[in-house]
Amino acid sequence: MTTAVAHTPRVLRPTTIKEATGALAVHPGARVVGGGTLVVAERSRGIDGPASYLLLSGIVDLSGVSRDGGGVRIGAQTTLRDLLDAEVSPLLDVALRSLATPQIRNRATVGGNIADRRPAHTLSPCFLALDAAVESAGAGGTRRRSMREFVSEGLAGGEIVVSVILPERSGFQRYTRVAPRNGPGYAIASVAVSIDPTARSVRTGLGGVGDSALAAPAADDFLTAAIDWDAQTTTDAAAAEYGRLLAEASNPVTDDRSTATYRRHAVTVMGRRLVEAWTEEQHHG
Amino acid sequence: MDDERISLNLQVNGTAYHVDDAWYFETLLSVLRYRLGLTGTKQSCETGSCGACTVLLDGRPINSCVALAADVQGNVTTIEGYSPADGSLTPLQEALVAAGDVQCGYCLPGMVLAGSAFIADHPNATDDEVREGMCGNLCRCTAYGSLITGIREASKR
Amino acid sequence: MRNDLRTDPGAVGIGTSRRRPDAAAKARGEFEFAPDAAEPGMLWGATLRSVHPHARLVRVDLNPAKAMPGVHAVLGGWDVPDNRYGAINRDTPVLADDIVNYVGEPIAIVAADDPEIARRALDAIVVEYEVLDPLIDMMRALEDGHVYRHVDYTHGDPTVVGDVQVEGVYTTPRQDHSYLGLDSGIAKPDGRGGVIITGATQWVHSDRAQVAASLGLPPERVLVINSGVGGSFGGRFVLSWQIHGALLALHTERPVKFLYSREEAFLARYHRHPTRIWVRHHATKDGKIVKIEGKVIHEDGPYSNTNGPGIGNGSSLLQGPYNIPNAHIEGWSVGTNNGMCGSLRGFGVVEPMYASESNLDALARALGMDGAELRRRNAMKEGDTWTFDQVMDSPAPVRELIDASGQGAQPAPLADTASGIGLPGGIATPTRPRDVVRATGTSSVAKNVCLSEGAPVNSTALVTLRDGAAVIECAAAEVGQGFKTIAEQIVQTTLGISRVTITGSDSGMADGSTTDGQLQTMTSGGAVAMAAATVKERFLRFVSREYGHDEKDLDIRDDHVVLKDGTRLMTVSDAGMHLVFQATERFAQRQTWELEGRQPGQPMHVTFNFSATRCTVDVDRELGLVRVVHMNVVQDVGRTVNPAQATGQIAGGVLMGLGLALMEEFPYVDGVPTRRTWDEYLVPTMIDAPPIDVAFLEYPEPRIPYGMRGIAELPHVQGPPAVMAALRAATGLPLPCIPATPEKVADLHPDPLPTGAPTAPSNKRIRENVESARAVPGDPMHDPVSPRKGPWNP
Ligand SMILES: Cc1cc2nc3c(=O)[nH]c(=O)nc-3n(C[C@H](O)[C@H](O)[C@H](O)COP(=O)(O)OP(=O)(O)OC[C@H]3O[C@@H](n4cnc5c(N)ncnc54)[C@H](O)[C@@H]3O)c2cc1C
Ligand code: FES
Ligand code: FES
Repeated sequence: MTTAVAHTPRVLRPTTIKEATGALAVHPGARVVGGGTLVVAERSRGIDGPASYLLLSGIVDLSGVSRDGGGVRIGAQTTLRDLLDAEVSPLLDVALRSLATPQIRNRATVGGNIADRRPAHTLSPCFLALDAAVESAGAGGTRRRSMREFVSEGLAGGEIVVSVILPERSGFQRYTRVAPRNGPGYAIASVAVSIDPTARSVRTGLGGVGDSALAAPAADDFLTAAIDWDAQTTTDAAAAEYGRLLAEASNPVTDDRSTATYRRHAVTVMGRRLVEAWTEEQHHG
Repeated sequence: MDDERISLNLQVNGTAYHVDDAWYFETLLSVLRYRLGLTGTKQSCETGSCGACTVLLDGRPINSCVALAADVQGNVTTIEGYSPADGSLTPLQEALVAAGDVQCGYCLPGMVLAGSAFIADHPNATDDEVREGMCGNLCRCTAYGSLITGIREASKR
Repeated sequence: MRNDLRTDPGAVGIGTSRRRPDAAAKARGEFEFAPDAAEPGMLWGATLRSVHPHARLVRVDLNPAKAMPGVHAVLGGWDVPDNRYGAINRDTPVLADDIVNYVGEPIAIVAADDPEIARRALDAIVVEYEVLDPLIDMMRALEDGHVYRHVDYTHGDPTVVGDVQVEGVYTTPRQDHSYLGLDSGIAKPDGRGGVIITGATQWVHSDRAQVAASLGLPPERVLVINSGVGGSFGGRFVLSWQIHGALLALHTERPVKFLYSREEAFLARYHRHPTRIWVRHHATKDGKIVKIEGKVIHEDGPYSNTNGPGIGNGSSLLQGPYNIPNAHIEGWSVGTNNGMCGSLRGFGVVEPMYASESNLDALARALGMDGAELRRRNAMKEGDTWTFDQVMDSPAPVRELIDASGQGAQPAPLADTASGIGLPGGIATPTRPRDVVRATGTSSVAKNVCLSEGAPVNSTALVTLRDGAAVIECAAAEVGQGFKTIAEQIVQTTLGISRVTITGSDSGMADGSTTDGQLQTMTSGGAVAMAAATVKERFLRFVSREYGHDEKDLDIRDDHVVLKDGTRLMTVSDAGMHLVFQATERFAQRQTWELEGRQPGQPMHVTFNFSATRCTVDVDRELGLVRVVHMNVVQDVGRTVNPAQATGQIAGGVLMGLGLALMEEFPYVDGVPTRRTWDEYLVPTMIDAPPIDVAFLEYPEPRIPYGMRGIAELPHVQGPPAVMAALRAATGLPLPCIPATPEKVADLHPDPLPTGAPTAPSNKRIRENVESARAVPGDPMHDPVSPRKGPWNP
């Protein structure tokens, strides 16, 4: 059993971001709770039994989806259900429908999904593809990082996710995944991509093929160059090469859910098919 | 150990409950079943994977097994609160048991509550809509066929 | 929905979809399942389990736990009066004494005020292990002679050679029951030195015998009461918490509740045995099968417990529902340190049927013949002889089943379903309609009905008629399968009355057999029918005497005493004058004998059932994603007592089989299970479940009242070969190893292909090994015992 740090209340209920970060600085052993769907399941299984919990649910500033200009700010405490209802992006809609179950989505939060960086989590690859930024807060104040930085660095001790900021992006946005069953459950591997004709940019996020979600800058650059932006088209060979480069960007393991070989294969095929889908969408509406 | 006990105020089925000696890490499921005696909410996986413990929180279905009781604000509806007080069945409950192959029934209270929220949002649902909307509820006995039929029929407007 | 599948609480008698008596209570959340029960002054039990697959217990110190406030008892193996139990073979320790043989094996138990305190008390117990090498490979176990049972038999002329020979090695995984209702119950002292155990089980009398034996109590000092059971599927045959609860209740003199968590259920409970099966079919060029050879290996865990009959079933039924004149078949049940194994729906038959059906898929390909046609040509029929020398003396309409499965509704075309979840892979799938190959496969299966090889299969029921209403008492366990409903229907039809209820089940009643082996409808149902018939006879004799009619002219119809021509005389209620009419009858299935060493005419199995299925799948070959689109299942059920329930059993069983074919696997790595939640061990969800059409043939079972036949296990046997036949047709791959996960279907992780030679060593070596292994005492891994000992053969 974990022994309690003296005088740490068992349940901390901050109402502001500042109170929360202040409390975490004083009680570093407290476990942050967003919706609790992961934290509570782990406690029930005896995997982690923290001496106290810090609930984010009382912090009004962390919730809600707001639009400013073309961009969107998603508060960390936004539930996955509310994000789905907000219809922020077609990519996110499909990804969220595939994420766990309606019951979980009514409780689980965006902050909790990305704060825990395990590679099977759904949203980080999506946010990579949407070129998002993450705002986080610690005792020293708030900072904003690109999603790429966030997935590789994560949170510092005592830091919380405040929001995810999506810049304006137009054009093709899609998420696909392969999983061990058709019903709900963690994916084996996933690819999220957005191809923005206005910005002439490609952004990819990969799930399940590294220690955390991965960006694929080389593949993005390749495809950006391989696309004929005026004609809105590219070649079959480029689609295949993009898929191959996704596999190259991956660093998958063989684990209980699948093999490294299959994961590499899956991102290769998914990458190729996504580019084909983009081409077809341009030309068949 | 005593400092690990907390007091809770919960609003369940329209009644305000006060619990004095819950563990600070206790789940809503545990408080409902073992402190309030509301055992209609079923315990099965305790990881949010099966839906047997589904309750409504302000009308939305959640897994009570992965909700910290200390972090529950709002009105909780359990199967006891949902079911008509006169012992009868709601049209959804009747549709589910009439549709055929209810077997052990362990999944059923969770299925009913998740279904009630689903049909509120999905009038005249198709089979595929039911499959997607109810995928958070496992049943190990049936092949889901009658459950899908029952929910689809109950969604008819 | 088909009208006859709509349940009706007012429906009366055999052939209707009478609603389950507990349906409304279940839908309202009022039905009390085992985990829901509580007793005043109750303590909570918890179990300390081994973290090693094989180790010596150097030291177990319970004192730190005993000293904790709120802890009322802490017990170890030395506190158990007779520290072995087993439903068939008493070789399993109640609590480990000096060796642990699997991860999850119980070492110590505690009773405390609250589940959390109990858990902390477990943490306080000090266990010092000396880790030993685990035996984790079934082939190693076989080579080393860790054999619980070996069978070897031939049929006809085993030297016959066919023009065409096709062979393969097939493997099936460990499967978990994953019933939703957790293992749970309460043990409490009866105040007279005995104990009352109320919990979820499938056979109260077997539980009582085992608990009493381990506690050193006479059986009448133990009362086992069945509670609400949340599914069973063969998973509640072996005890889990019951002896532990009884020990703690007697020590603390208070009620003690056990409630396993899902993870604990995965660790503590037994699973379907993994198997490795080699099979070779010999056929003529036109597809007549002339011989089957097979070697069946069951990996049966660290204790034999119930495993003997599994390999008996497995080796006998390898031939499938086909008439094969010549055979040589061997089977081994071997021990490893990979967790307990035992019965799961279709015990010992799911696996060989999968292997032989798979090999028939390959044979059909080799012959260039349609799979359904190959099966038709060899279909078994009544009067044929099984390879284990038993005449098929009841209906075997295999050809008719195959033909019927090919008819019926066709699946929706892809274009109609290609939105959202209608494609392989489900929501967010990368599969496009043009990536999909659709294919269909047919398979047919058989299963023995009832327990076999000398196991007693009998049940007793008591029926009481008073004031026009009947009450049934029968100890048969209702686990969700619907026995209570059909018992009521049988009495309604037999007695001609509508008001019938059935009581609960406990070991104070006469033995009602086990809810297992798809035997209850035709065994306890038979006893119920006989008791009702006797009551009717007694009642009508009374009416004839009291009212002066000839007994032969009287009958009961629609709650009235009638003359044979239908003229109503009076209500049953009035006629009975408030008197009680009662009868107890025992129904026993015919005697069976062990596979080997039977005399001619001695059956090994009581009887059999058959089904055939056409399955359609959509496959994304490149990514290995699969969606089962539709299944058309036709089963001979003897007599459809309740169409809604029969359909539910069959569809539900087929879906469990689909799970085994595509996703279910409970693997061990270095003796440690790697999946412990339903996020890791996956079962089919609503999105994975295809529409399943179920149709019945009704050839009555001889010797059984109303011609009823068991139905519930066969569908699980049917699922895997049906799905895999379609999947092989779609991919052209042999796919010998299930579950067929995406990497296998994408052919990126080629399965080990058949290498020709049988993989098992010679019998002689096995026998020598068994003999020498018997010489090593102490460790049950090294002490194979005859599976026929125990309660079945004291
Ligand atoms: C049945 C089931 C299926 C699932 N399937 C999926 C799936 O397909 N894809 C997927 O991605 N996930 C899945 N999950 C996992 C999980 O529920 C989600 O990832 C969810 O989004 C986590 O959010 P939460 O708010 O509940 O997290 P919590 O449990 O509250 O927290 C998760 C982690 O993040 C930390 N945390 C939470 N909020 C913050 C914050 N604002 N700042 C800093 N740290 C924070 C917590 O301390 C904890 O370490 C599944 C879970 C279940 C039970
Ligand atoms: S018990 Fe809560 S989802 Fe299974
Ligand atoms: S009826 Fe048993 S789990 Fe659904």
